[in-house]
Amino acid sequence: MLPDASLFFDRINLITGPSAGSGKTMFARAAAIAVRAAGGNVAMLSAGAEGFGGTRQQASARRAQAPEKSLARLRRGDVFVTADAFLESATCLPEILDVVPGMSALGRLAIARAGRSGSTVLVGPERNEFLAAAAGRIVEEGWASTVIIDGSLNRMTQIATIQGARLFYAVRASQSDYMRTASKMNHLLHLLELPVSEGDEGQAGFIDIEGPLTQSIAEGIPEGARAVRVGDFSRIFLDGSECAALEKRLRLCVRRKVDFGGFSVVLRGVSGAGFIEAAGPAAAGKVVSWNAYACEPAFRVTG
Amino acid sequence: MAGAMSQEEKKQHCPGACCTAAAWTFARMEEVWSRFRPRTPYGKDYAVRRVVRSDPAGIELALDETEACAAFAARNADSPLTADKVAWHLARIPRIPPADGGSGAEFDISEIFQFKKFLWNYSGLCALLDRPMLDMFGMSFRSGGLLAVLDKGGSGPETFQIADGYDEGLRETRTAILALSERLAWRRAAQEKAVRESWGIGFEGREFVMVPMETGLVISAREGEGKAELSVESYDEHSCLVRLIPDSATLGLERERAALRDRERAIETRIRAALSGLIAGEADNFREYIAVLTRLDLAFARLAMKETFGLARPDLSARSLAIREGRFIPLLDECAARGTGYTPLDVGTGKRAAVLFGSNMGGKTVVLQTVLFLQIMAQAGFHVPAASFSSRVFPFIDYVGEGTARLTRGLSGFGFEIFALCKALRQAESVPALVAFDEFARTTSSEEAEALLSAVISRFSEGEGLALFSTHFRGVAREPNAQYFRMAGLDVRLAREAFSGKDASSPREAEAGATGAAGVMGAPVGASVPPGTAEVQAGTLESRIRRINEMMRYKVLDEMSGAAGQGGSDALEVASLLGLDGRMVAKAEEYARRGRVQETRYGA
Repeated sequence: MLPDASLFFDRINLITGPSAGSGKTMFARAAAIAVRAAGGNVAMLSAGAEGFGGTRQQASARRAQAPEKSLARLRRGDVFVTADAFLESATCLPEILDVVPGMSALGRLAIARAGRSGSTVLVGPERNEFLAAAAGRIVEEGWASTVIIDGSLNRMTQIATIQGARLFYAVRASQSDYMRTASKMNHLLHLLELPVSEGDEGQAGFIDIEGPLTQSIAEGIPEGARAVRVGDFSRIFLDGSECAALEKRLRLCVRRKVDFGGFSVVLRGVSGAGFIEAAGPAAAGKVVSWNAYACEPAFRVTG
Repeated sequence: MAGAMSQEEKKQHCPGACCTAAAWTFARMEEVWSRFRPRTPYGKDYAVRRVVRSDPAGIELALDETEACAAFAARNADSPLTADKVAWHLARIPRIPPADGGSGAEFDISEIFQFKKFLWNYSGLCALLDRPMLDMFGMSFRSGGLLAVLDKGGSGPETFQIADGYDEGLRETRTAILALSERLAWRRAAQEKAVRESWGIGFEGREFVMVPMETGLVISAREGEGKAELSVESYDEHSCLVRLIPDSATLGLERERAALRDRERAIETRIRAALSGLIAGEADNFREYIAVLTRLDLAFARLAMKETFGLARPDLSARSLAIREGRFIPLLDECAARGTGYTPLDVGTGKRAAVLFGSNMGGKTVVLQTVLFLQIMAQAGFHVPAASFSSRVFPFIDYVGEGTARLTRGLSGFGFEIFALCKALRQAESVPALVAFDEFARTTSSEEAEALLSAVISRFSEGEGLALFSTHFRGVAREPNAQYFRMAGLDVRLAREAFSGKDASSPREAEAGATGAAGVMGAPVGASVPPGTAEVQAGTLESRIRRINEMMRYKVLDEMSGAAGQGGSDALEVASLLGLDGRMVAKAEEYARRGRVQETRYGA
């Protein structure tokens, strides 16, 4: 079942996931279909171009052989970002609106609008700040009010660069890893719900960390510390057990909370009920899409 | 310092042969340069290069252009929208590729877009600027024909596509593609509807959908009956993936559309080549537009600096240096943040060398920084922060002092100074140079330092340029072609008043009699720091610096002006004010009186 369009409307949405095949791209496309169906105008971006590294000439040649799944289907009026090489062969009659700062491995990147329904390969800036600039420009100029970014794999820090963006996290669970996936979802949810702390600077035992919080940094935190604050959850590079150990001795908090839209879950070889049981009500309740391409609601979860 | 250069900026920083990086850094230019904000990519490129010029005509032109922009703004004072529009167009100028692009080169559509956007904004600027401005910058728009052609592509002046309007064949092809696409969409919708009615499966625009395994098995059985409209593949043990199978009529339409798209692409390629040729034909115009735009952009950005900082036009035709109310903006900002007063600089010399003696913390270094700051700003084409500034253009500006020593490994502070001196000498022998020496040779023994410094002063005083020296070494030789100054130094009367509560004749004696810092710092110090405030009693470094600032007279005087013996280092008073133990200060003074450690007064 398509996700609820209202989750994405009139904002920048960043979709990321832990690994290839997590359903990130599929969820992004499903989100775009849902927003269009609800009457919204969509901009679709991706971070980099997975599977299209190399020179521009190679890219041109590859375009002809691009598998169906690499092509983003666009409707007239959709806004998108791609490289010069793919503009030439796009079937959606692109109208160039702007050129994105910086260059990609596939050449210059442009923001374009589809003049008719068709398809192209989405290629976005590899650097976070350029990705943020492109998304910001689309919204500022009013070219589209809803931006859907198919983000980089396992690069949660992107969310910190794109101020105000809503984060979605796509996972795929199979028979062999669904317990671990469920555990990771709960850990992520825990980090996302860390309290925001303001004005504690200067208090005894309060430590403000500007950069990332890694295990080695955590080990260096003095015994007397009462609280540690980081920029946002994406700056925490601790797994569940490391985080729990740290939180036993002090309070972990953030300067800024990230707007979390929810999880997209693709199940393969796992029953819905079994996964819900493994994930527990908190994580399962944050799932906004179960198999985005299912033709009927796979599961309804409340609470 | 607030505006310290990042590593990336340092790599880019290249004041050029005219101004060394050491002089640039010493003058804290980066702190002001960071506020110089051209809007076009070309102006930004220029700003990154940190160009300091040595051609008088180029500098005067830059100053004239800034003033032309100021006059334009004044003429349009009643319509502020005009200035906003100019800024808006400048900010929207894109960087374009070289228009000639090599023989036979074709531009991508995103590049053609950039040419169109460039021309549209450039023509917009030409329409906004009045005759005096157009004449000043030699600005004209001669690419109306090209812009009109490019304007056919895209729904607005700042968008571009290979539009139907370029070729009748393209229009026909696209119309045919559209008609086929509509037929295909209709067929797809009809197929989806049939599947929804037959199987309850809704595709909702998706290429495939996932259905429960039971449904998939039933569809597969139907497939075996030869009534296939759906293809089914297993996904996992719970579900299947289902796709619509296009019928032969649909496949035929798709083949037809693909052939039309190939034709469309061929026409687009032809149009792109034609447009590329038109653009290449205007390569000279584009080069000129870029040059003009860069000057215009820089002039408006310099005007913004002039208005922000209240800058005045420098006179670079003089033979001597004369500064009236010169302001060193980085320090001015610091004083404002600290809530302390700032004394503008008045100084002048017609000699080839100027030597400045004075107190510790008395402002000698700031004088040198201010002179270099004003000179570099002027030679970068800016108006300067001074009531008046007369000087000449120096082909070489350098700094020799401790500040640069840390940049080079393997040399001591003194070693590096000598290394830098050798380089400066080589340059100064070939061109008139402005070189600032801040406490040169301060790290070696005073006797040898004085001798060496005397030799350096002598050499530079015979040159064609101007050398500025700050030093504690009062024993340097007096050269006929050099002028000698001193900082006014600590206001002894104020300093004594500060300690009057302790019934002492000097700050040092008061400090000696005090039981601790609070007693000293609690003494009346002037209006801006009320006595007895928590800050003063705490004796923070900030409050101590503020006290010294209040007692220090930051004025440059002729060496011989005022009472004899004035213009010493005031080192013991300053040390006392900075909180050095009073008994130690009193002991030092006793030694000083006896003349046994006279030289330590000039040491670090």
